[in-house]
Amino acid sequence: MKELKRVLKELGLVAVVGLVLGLAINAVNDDGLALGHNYFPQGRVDATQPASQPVSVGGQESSMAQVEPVVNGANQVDPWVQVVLDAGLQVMSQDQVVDAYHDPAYEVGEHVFVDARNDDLYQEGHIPGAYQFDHYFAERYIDRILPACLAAQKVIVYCEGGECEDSRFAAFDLLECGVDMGKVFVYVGGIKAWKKSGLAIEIGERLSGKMTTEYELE
Amino acid sequence: MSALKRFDQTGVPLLLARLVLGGMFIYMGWAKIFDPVDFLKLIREYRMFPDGGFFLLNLTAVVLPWIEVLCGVLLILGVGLRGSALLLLVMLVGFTIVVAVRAIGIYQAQDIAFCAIKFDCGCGAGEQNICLKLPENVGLSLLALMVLVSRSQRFCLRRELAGLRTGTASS
Repeated sequence: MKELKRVLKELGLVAVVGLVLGLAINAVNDDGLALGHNYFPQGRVDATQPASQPVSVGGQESSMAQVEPVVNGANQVDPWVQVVLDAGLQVMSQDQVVDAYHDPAYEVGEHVFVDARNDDLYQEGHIPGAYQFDHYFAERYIDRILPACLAAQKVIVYCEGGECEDSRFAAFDLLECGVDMGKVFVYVGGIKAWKKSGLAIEIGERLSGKMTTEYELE
Repeated sequence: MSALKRFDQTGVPLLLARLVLGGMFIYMGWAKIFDPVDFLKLIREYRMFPDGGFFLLNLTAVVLPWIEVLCGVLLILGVGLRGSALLLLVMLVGFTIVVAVRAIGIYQAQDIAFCAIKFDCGCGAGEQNICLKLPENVGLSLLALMVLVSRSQRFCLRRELAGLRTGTASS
């Protein structure tokens, strides 16, 4: 019994030292986490716009059935599109994203692309002209991107694509910062779908001018 | 004295167990420390905490890797051996259960062979095959158990320091 007490005392001591060490280093780490911050917001942002009703896509009324990608031709919505719709957000299909990119409105800042991936992935290649917004470190980017998003007519947020959820979380952050819900769209296909279409990506910083269509497809 | 006990008293099995277990946990913990966001995303996949339990989730992502590294260092040094081993054993049992539950969920959802399941379990070694990961965890748990029940104190820094203090340091 005495031995067990001693072992449990050791265990408690190790756990407490680990706890203090972890918290102390997190506090001084630039890449540390904010313990009280919910990095994975889930809830519907506007209950008055249920996903099952027509949503505004590309400035026109559109129903979920028009949302791509669609599986097996039976008007079955991609599950990751459904997740975004269920969260109360709007989506943009591949064609609509490409149209928005080639629209002259993009040149004058009325359409804004927001890349919700981390710095390494953004630097490897992003949609030309897209702003970076790694929502886990929102404070680093928000001052730069918020004026552009507030002034834009359409804000298209993307990440890797498919099961990647960061575009959804970044969209929530933008809505919280006052960007109008009606103009925020999630591009569910993400950079993977963009590359699959053979479109150019920009390497390095935003507006670096280093464009390429030579990249690996996953 | 049984042969097993005599073997234990040489301190060699304990030393090997400490080195393997400690080394593994230092390696796995260290890999998570430098990218807390990545680790946070991985442990979220287990859905261990209820909605609104984000504080606990964040705390786990921040603290768990450091506890792993600390236990690993203590095991290798030979200080607080049994407390560290018990803590690792408890964690290993927990990890094994949640990894197995998640693998079963994937198995049921995707209808693929169980041993074809691969995912990044957040263990610090990237994407791993479930049929390698589970035996690995069982092996590490056995090593932790071995450290816990060993009576030997050889090659332990704590014992050497105690010996120096009393002037009876031994090899």
